[in-house]
Amino acid sequence: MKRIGGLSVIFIGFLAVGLIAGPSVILKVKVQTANVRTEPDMSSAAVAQVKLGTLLESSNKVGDFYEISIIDKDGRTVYGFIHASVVEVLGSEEEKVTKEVKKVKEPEPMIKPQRVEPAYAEFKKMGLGLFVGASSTSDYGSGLAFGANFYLGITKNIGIEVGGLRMQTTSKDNDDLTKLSKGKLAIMPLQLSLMARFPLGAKIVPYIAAGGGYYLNSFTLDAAIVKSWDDLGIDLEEAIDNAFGFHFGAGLDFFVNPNIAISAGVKYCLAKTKGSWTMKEQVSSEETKGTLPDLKLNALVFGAGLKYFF
Amino acid sequence: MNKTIRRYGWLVFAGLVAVILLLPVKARVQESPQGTVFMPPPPEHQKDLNPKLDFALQRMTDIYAAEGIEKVREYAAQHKIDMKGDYIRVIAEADSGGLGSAGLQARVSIICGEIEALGGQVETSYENLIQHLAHPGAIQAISQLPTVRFLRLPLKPFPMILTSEGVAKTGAGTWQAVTPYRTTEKVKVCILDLGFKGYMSLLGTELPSSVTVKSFRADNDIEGGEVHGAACAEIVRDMAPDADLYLVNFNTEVEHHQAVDWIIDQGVKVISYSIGWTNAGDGKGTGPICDDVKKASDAGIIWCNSAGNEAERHWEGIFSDSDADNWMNFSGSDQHLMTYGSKCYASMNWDDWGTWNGSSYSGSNNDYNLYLYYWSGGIWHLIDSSTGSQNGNDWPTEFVGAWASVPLYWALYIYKHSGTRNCKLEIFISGSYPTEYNVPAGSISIPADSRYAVTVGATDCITDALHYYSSRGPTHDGRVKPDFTAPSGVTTQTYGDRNFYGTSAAAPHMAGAFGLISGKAPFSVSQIKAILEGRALDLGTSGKDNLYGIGRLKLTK
Repeated sequence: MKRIGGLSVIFIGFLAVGLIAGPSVILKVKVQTANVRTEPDMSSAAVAQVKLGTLLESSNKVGDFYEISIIDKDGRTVYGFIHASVVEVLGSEEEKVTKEVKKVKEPEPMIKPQRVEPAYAEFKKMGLGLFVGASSTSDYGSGLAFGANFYLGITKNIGIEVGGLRMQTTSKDNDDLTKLSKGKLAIMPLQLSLMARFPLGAKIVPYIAAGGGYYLNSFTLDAAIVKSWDDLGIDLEEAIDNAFGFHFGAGLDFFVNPNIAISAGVKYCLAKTKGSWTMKEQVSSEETKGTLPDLKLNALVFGAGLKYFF
Repeated sequence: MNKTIRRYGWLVFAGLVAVILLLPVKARVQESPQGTVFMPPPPEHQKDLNPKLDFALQRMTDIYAAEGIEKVREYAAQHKIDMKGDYIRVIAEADSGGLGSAGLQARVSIICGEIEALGGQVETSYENLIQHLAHPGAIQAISQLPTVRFLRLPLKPFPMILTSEGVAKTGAGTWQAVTPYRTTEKVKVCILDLGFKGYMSLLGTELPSSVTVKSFRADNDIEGGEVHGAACAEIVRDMAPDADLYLVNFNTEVEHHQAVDWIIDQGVKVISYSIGWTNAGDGKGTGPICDDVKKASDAGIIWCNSAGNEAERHWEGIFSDSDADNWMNFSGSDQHLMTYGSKCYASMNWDDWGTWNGSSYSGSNNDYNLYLYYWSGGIWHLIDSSTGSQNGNDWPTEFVGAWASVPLYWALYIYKHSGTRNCKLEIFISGSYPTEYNVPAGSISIPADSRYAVTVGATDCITDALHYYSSRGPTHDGRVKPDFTAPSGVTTQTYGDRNFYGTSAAAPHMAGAFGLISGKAPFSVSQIKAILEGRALDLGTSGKDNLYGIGRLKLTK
């Protein structure tokens, strides 16, 4: 509670607002490096350091210490005390401060914005994401795509993502007997990706990713086709095998706070598999069957989602 | 209950048929020559016959020598023998013994030259068979060519005309409506027939707007003076509207062989064949025409063959001579087989064909002759005879024929000239009313007897009753035929409203069914056959029988 109304580090633009809010003084660090301590005591621990020329605001003085607050490099607010001997009081009266404010509005090197801006996009150790979008297959049309993923950060720029995706389309009639017939196709790759992240500023992280996966596939022949043949006494079946595949893509995470990011991305999946079909006549049990040896399940997937980082 | 209704329905139907048929028979008996004294004609002297000539050619050369070309024309017209001007269409069989393919080809080429040198006109050839036009005065000389094995008339096919409600009856419409699965094949169905007269006027309506036509006739006439093929094509189109139709015609067996080879090369999948032959094989599925069926089958073609319309015009039995005068006794002392009509053509063969070696039969050494009489004013008049000599290497066949301006009673007599046993004789009669002593069993025509043909009998397109004329099994080697029955008495543009009768109408329904299913699903033709067997509507006695086969064609489950 003591810290409420204490000094805090603010953006230049906020200074006027801060001054209007209550009586306070503006301090300017006058040594190369000054410690910010946990208590107004020289023997207390230093929780941060501030550099020469840094402007600080304080509305409370305890003995020889000014109570202040700063924001560290990780975006966290740090409260503490700085000794009066290492700072210069620029003014304690409103007139004086106002004068100094006008001064600091000039292009003097004071607090650089990037240093005090919340660094949301910094290194993330883990994250969970949900994704929804659309897929467009090379041979079987387009449809809904959705999935989930888990991110594990290795460094600030490198991470691994494990994800599951489901792409489903309704293929149309086609005369190409090497492809699947009309029906519902679901492609469900379980993918492992190596991700390279390139933070831009505090909130935006573009990334690229590539990897491989195991594609769980299913195909359901169009119900109307099945029925029309069943009416003739013929059972139809058409199936598709699972497959290994590859993918690559790119995207962008936009952090709305240190833990949550809105994500948008695009990914191209390449997979090839086999299929089979069977016709069986119900009375005589005569059966004819065939294979579809070269089914391409290549798909472009794009969409948006949310990620939560720990 | 249904069986009872069916049984009594059948009895009622049979009774009606019997009444209809028996009334004119009774009338005939009252006026008929039954009981008149018959003096058997003397057997013709056969020692001077040229062993390298068939009987008809022998007769025509004799007539030419004695009475001139006009009488030859009369004889040819009477026996439906092809003549072009003064020339007779004949087949020379080259002796192929010991020759390979190249050698045989060279020999045939030499014989063709020799025939041309003797005034003949070679039309075409197939393996050892040379089809040509020969003047009656040159026939003896041609037969004497040392490498000519035999000279004969061409085997003659005939259409089984007796005019589609069959689409609805068989359930083909449901198949027509379904979207093809796993096939985009446009199935080629060939109608192999004698003529397609009027087919041009059917294009775009009863037939597809485009069809492939090919004539193997010597005159390349696809119409051939015969509408029969066009009507058959109409039915195939009705059943399989998406099929590619091939209309192919021929006139002789040489042209037939060529046609089948061409059809195979075209990738045809189904043949609709509503043609029958007599005296062209032993009834056991062998012979030159049956070989064509096998060849097509080996190439993966399904051959749908009409069973024949001969059930009421067929007789067969073992030669019986209770009075030991060498004349066949059909029943008791009755030595003639009588029929009635304005025409009478009779083909006789007996079970002494020997072995089929791929080009000919080893032949018969049992010699039977066939005589044809007509009844006029209280006496039988001999009008035709066939006394070919079977002395060891000849086909066991005879043929007689005649017509009149008014319906007459005709009588057939069989004379055993020589032989080592009493053979089983078979007579097919065309052009006249039902035959006395009729034996419907075994009336399957050629090549419907082939084990490689899907043989189709005829049932009524409304009632499913077996049509009286529909030829029946078994084959001479005891196999059940027909394989199926299919609708007959159907409507075509060619023959009119419910006026296409005969197994000729049934076979195209079967061929159309194969064409339809082949175009909708990737089943093989043998699988389609099994499917259709499983779905056929069992009629008559339970299971496959010699009247209905496995049942009436039905495409629905």
